[in-house]
Amino acid sequence: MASCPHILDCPLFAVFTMNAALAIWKINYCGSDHSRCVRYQLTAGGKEVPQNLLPNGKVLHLTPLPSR
Amino acid sequence: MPWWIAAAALGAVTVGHWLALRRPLGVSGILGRFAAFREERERERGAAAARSDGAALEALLAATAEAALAGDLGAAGPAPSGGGSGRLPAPLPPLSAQGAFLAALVAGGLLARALAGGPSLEAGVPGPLAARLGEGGALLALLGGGALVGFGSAACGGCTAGHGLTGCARLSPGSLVATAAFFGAAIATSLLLGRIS
Amino acid sequence: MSRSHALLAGLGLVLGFTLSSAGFSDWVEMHRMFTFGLEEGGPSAGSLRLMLAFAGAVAVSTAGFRLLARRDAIPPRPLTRATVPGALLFGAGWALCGTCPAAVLVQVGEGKVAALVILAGMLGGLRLHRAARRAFGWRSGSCEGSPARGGSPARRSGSGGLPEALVEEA
Repeated sequence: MASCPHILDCPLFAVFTMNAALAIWKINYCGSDHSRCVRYQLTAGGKEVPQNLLPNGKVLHLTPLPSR
Repeated sequence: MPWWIAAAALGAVTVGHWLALRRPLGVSGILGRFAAFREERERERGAAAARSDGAALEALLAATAEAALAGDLGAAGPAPSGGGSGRLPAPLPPLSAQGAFLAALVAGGLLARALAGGPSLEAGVPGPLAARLGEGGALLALLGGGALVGFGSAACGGCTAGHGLTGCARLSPGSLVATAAFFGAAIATSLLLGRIS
Repeated sequence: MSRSHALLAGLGLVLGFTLSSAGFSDWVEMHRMFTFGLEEGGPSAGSLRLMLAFAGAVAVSTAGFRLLARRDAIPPRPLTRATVPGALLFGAGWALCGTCPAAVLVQVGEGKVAALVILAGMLGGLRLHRAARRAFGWRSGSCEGSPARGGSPARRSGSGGLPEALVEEA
């Protein structure tokens, strides 16, 4: 299965790379059925994506990731 | 350099870039980051700060455990491509590394020129361009042409390396269309340019 | 981090050297490729050289990626509404200035003073697109977008299609 095309620029992907324990997100979303990822769904619908939105829809409030 | 050696070398760099860095080869994106250097550097510093923020990491790990228990992280179905995260692309490289790439392109030109024994400095605009548009016109064409290249590559998401080499080699629909479009436009523009005398 | 620096430097050096040596940083050669040598009497080995080099490079890369595609997840490049207009602008500019973003840097290394003019244009064009994208709200097609705004119910209600049970604060 092809990976999510947004891997190259998704700020969360970079965050998941920083710790081995977070790799499970990459394996389960970015690298396989990325249509489940709510970030991907929002982007596909042309909507804005809150910076700290996790693929399963939960949001983290600490230290916002830098925006472009 | 014979065309087939150039072909082999370019192909090797395209594939080698992916193998070595887990990133597709592309130049316009990198140049784009440097065009907005201050902003990108700020962003990079912010990302580094976020990564070293212990509280943020704890929150992420907690969210990960929660997600695992909720079954969000086990429903991947068949084994993901590559059998793990090892084959996935890498995140954006640091500005300093991409800067090294750009500097190396310059060095490559310098080396080739040195070995070919040509002049180390070449002033003036391309002859045929000046002949058709005059010196001033030629400079405008270079500046404006460059602006179109910059704007266009940002709009279509790649350049001859990104779309033409990497994208087409991957048979990406976006790249095949983009490559056909930019070659078509370049050919048409060049033929039109040829009609000016 | 020093590994990626060294790799990028090595790859850049080979790429730059090859582009220069093959002729991709020469305005006359590029013009010849785009006009199929018609201004010099017709297509010949000289005018097809660069086209062949490019096509050959794509062939080598395609074969290389096919061998690796089974193991590797190389992301495809999406086709968006901006792809064709952007590529057309790129192509027109490419014909005028004779160089692509990689080649202009090679030209700087070759000592071509005019390359600085082209480079200035390119950087300007890149910046202009970034600004226009923000000003007009063009979507880049990626999820890198908005600043953190999670937490307000008003925002959440606009994200149609999300299973509401999943959308909550951590």
